[in-house]
Amino acid sequence: MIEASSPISAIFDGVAARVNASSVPVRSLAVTSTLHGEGSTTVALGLAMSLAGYDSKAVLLVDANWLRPSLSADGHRIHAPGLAEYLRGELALDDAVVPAARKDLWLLPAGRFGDELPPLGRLAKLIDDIGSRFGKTVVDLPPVLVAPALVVPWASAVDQTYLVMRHGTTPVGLIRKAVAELGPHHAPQLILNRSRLEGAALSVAYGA
Amino acid sequence: MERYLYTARRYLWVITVILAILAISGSLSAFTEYVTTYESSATIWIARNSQSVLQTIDSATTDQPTLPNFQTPANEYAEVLSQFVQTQAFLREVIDRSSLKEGFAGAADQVAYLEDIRKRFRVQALGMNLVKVSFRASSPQLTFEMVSATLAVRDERTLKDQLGATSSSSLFYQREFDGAQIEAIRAQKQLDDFNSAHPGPWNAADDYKQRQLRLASDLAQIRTQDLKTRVDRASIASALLQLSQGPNVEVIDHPEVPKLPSGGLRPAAFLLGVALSGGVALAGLVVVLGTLLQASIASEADLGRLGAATLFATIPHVARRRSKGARGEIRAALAAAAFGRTSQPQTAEAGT
Repeated sequence: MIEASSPISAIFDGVAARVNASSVPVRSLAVTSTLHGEGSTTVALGLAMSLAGYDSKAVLLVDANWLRPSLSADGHRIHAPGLAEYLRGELALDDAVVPAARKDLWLLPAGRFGDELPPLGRLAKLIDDIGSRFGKTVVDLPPVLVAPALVVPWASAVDQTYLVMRHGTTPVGLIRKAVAELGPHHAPQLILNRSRLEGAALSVAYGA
Repeated sequence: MERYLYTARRYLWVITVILAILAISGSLSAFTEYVTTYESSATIWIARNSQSVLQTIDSATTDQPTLPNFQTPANEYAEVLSQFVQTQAFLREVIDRSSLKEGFAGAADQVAYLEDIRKRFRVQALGMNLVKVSFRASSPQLTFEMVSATLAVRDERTLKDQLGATSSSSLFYQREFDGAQIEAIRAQKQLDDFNSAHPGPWNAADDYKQRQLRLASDLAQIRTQDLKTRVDRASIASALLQLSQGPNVEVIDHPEVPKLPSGGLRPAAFLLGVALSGGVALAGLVVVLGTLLQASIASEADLGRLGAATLFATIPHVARRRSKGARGEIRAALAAAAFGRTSQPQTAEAGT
């Protein structure tokens, strides 16, 4: 599971293992946070890499963070068409996704946001299309308290939403607010980033 | 940064109240200061008879003490007057001529009283030959009295100093004159004694001696006459000085009793600025402390405060060596492993 050449991704292998071990199969998941700077994009990227190496099924990493499309920048696809164009019906999924250097990892860039919000009502179709081609989908979302309109539709479309919080930094009040923002029907599960706590003990005590 | 903005929104009412209280109190203080401050001033024209600039070597105002520092008449006068204002003796004299005399006599701390008075004076050169002297106070009449008294005391002191210097030179010449007179009498007596002892005819040696004695007597007489002239000049110098004082220093605009508040704009602006700065600083402190003191997930006990939300997993904090100036090393390493080429680090370790 952990490649010697990329020990960094091993940090996220535990999270990937828990995703795969969920009682309810999780094929599509979204990662968000309360505010910027919590580490959600890093977690989404690391989790996608770990999932790609877990069972050798293709994983699609979707950059849905139109506010800061840093995954598209990392993949050198910052100006390339992608998610926005697909949702507008201007581009087929096959033309929008690009393979990453990492084996079994694909990227759907954010695309050009334009002047209007892309039709997020097509998210369900997108998830279906992706599900027919990829084993897992990891969606990187903007912070829920910053842009709830860009997050909540995804929360209802994917199998599970994860809310990243930063150890010793993210206020409890904001976490509650973010959870409430996502709604009771799509309650997110929490990932504590940069934790200095005993991880194993916490997983046993509070794991899903 | 967003955390601080959220805190600011959360404590918006507190911040608004703090800013409002300090802004209102600061504005009231500034307004009170402005409407209760009066300033009286005098504008003085200063000219030298020679109209040449005064060259002084002033090591305090130049980086290189050997460079000459040219002072205009206005600068020189303003500097002297400013130095006078720094002295307690001068201020006491000024106060003695004003209505503050009784208040000063009854003051518990006279040094502090004088210091307060000193701060209210302002002396500034307006150009080559103009100097403005002003005084601020809450009483219009007092400002007029203080400026008038300052000019009077300053002129008297200057004149007294100059007269003192003139008297010193006169005394010096008088002593020299007395000595020269004794020398002249002695030379004349030697000449007379020689003449009476040598009725003649004279040989060459006597003739030479007699010429020498006569020359010495003549020189002594000339020196006596010269010193007598100098003594006479020194004695009339003080009178000439008093006569020449008028045209050199002339008060162009005499001090008047101000009818409207003036001179309080700067202290009022300072008061308002301090109040507003304090309000902004206090509001900033509230935001910073509010953010830092907000409860966060820092221990296992904190997890119980999340209510129905469950903790799915933890990602351990990884302390890695940072390369030179590199930020977000984990994120950059992940991006490089995922997308092949090394990308620019986007954020810190936590990423976005």
